Amino acid sequence: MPDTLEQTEGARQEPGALTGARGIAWRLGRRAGSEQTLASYALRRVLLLIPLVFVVTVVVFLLSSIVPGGPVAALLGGHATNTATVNAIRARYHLNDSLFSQYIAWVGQVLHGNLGTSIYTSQPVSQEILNRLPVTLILNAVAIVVSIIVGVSLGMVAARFRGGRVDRIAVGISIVTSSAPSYVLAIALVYLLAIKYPILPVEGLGTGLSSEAEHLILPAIVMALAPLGFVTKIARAAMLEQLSTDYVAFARARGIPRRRIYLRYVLRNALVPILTASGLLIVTALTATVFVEDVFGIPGLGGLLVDAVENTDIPVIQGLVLVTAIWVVIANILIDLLYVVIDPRVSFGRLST
Amino acid sequence: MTQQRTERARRAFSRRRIGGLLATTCLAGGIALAAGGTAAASNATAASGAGSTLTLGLQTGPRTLFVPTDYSTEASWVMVLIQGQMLTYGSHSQLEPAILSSWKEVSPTKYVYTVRPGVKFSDGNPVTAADIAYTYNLQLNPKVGAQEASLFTSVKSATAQGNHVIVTLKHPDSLVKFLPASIAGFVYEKASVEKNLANYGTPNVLPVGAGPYMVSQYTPAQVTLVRNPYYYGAKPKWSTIVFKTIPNPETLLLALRSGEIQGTFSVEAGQAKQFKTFSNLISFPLDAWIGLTMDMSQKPFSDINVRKALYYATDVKGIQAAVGGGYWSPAASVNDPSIYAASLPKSTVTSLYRKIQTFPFSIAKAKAAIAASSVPHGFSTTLNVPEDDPADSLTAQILKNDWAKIGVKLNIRLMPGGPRFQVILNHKPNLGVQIIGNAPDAPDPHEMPWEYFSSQQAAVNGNNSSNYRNPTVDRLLNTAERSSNAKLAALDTIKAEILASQSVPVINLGFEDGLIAVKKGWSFTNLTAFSPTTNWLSDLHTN
Repeated sequence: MPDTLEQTEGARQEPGALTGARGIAWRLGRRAGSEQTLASYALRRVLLLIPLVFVVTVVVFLLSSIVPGGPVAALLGGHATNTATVNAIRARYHLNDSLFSQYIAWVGQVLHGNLGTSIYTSQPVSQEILNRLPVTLILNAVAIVVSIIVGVSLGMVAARFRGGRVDRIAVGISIVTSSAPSYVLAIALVYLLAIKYPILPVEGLGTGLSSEAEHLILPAIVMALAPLGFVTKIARAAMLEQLSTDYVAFARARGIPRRRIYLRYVLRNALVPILTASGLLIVTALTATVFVEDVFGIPGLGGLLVDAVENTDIPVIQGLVLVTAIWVVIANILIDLLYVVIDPRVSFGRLST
Repeated sequence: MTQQRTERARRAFSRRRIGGLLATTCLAGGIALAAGGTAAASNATAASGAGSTLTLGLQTGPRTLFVPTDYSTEASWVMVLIQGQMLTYGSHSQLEPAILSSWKEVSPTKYVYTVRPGVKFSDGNPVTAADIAYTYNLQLNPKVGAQEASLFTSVKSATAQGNHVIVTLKHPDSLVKFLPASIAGFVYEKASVEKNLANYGTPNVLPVGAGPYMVSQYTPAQVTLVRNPYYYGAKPKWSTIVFKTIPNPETLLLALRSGEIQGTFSVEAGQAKQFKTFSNLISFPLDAWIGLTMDMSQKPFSDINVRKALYYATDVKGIQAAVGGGYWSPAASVNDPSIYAASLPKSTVTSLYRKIQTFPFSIAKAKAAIAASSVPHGFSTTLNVPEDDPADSLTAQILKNDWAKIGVKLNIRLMPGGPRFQVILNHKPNLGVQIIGNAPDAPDPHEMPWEYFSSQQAAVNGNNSSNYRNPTVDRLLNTAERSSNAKLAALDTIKAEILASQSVPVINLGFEDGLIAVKKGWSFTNLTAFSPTTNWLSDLHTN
């Protein structure tokens, strides 16, 4: 029976040498004992989400509260007013209560499934988020999937032809896409593909399935381009590292076809650091969303966040922080679990049996 | 027109063909999933400019379709088509009948309005005097938190009597007679608002109005209007009007260029040249005053020499050129002289305006003034700048450079727009120097000087961020406010402006024009500062 996180191919690598999520998983496994399963590991991670979200929302709540001004002026749309109106607004949104009371009230609402009402738009926060979540979620997912597929392919090709023209082109692409801001890429692509050669729409979401798909092509490309360079660089480095190992030389000596060596052995081992990088991609893609949605006039969570911060719309900010924290943590849990699929040496207790 | 139509058709074809090919790729496969997921969020009508659909772009979409919670110029372009107005403005900003067929100033504190018979809301219910009275009372009720509440400060009550509405004031107020034609004069149906006051005008509760159009769909991305079948006026030209929210100014420009929108009300002065290359750019006076206030109640701005030094050190023409791009006109005071057109001859206004003290850019004079001040070696101060306003940011950078020449270090603090304005409303502890952009709500000359020079506004929730207080100015402004003689009121107001200028409470940077871009061949005529509150569609000509 293997240990919680074992290396079935023997102790070629010391546990302490494990890094990133693998290391974390190993350490988690050690603490939990040999009976930990994949399910218990996932549950543990989900439970860890609770204190994390608590801390994040407290910090954001405090940060929002120290911004001078507060939401009243935003509610008044920058108009001077009379004291009676201000007092009525403050009472309606409980702004006269202490920060602690306001936070406790908010937590109470959340526990009842109510994220409150946007001060700025008078709409339920949960509805605002749900209306905008799908487009942001899918833009992010498409960006990450496309950047990984294309980036890993480019990295593989670059590693295969190391030092050659193909390698230089791939590295060049990765440098350009990772260094150019999403905003600039977006404007350049809109000009090229919607104005100069008008094959795609400039902005908006369109209506109907095909129209919406058409409207999302450019934003998705822009979203995918930024992490593409990063993934290509990681993939190229990981592939080169694997290609220099003994098992590859041995496989070649045994006459195993090059294609099989690359796809079956080298790529699979190289995917571990790429997966680790994917965790970062989730965060960077979320950041890029703010700019991309702005440029393409897409009503997603990015625009909602910008408006909320601009107007100190604390219920919306808190709601978005909650959703984002859950999103990032769950995505990271999924990535950790993917290690098991990709690398059989990484396992959780009985799973490996 | 034919050529343009052909070009659009070609674009549409190539989009369909190549877009269709792309859509079959793996990328589009993922995106198609997205499309499925976003179908609920985006339920607006397609609006590519074809047929009788007019598609316009707004950089900031209405945050709600309910004026008490979104009293803004950009929302007004939309709302005026939905709600309908009590009264409207003529080409010379004179009051004209609309839903109210007539009005009478019974006394300086009593107005009687008569509702036009046969006017209906978009739900088929008649517009009654009770609805008009309710619209007033809605804005008088502090619990509503109406953004325009301060305009109704002098209103005591509004009651319905038969087909008439009686508005009684606490004291005479020159502004009140204009309110029925302002944004605050959009008509609301009592029954529908009362039922859903908390979320009226949101996508969940669409507004009911008596304007030429009614709301068909409202999403964060766009507002779609269709003809109101019960509209009392002439049948509007377009069957559908779509207002798209395009927050990015570059994208807005490209959307117009590509033909996806046919016009926009959100042209920034810095982009005027680019818009001109492919569209018809129309500028019109907005009477929007841009200026700086200096808190006279606190050091070092309590020293008049400091205020003079800063005025002299400000390269106003340079700012107008760099920030306004040729669409700012010089300002001697907070009122554009044109606002007196209905009450005084132009020559009188010009002559009186010459008496307003200004301090043209002169570093030598600025240095002399600062040397004579309580801070001869300069000082350091902070300017709060709304981070969402690139024009204000650029202005601040120029000021920083200008003022450094006389030893004044200007720190720029970028802040969200709402909290930035809250600092002004709080009126504490030290307002220092503030950048202001404000336009009158109505063609009432008294309004802007009252907001920036009256003691009443130099308090919490007031606009007078200079904290300028002068009993003579207060008396002149009060007299102007309560006078039933427009000419005398105008003269008193200008006197107040002249007197205030002697104390240098503000630095006048200019009056900003409004900019609208429409596709080539189209035009707008008769645009005035108050066009956003009138049925502007009749001024749009498509040739």
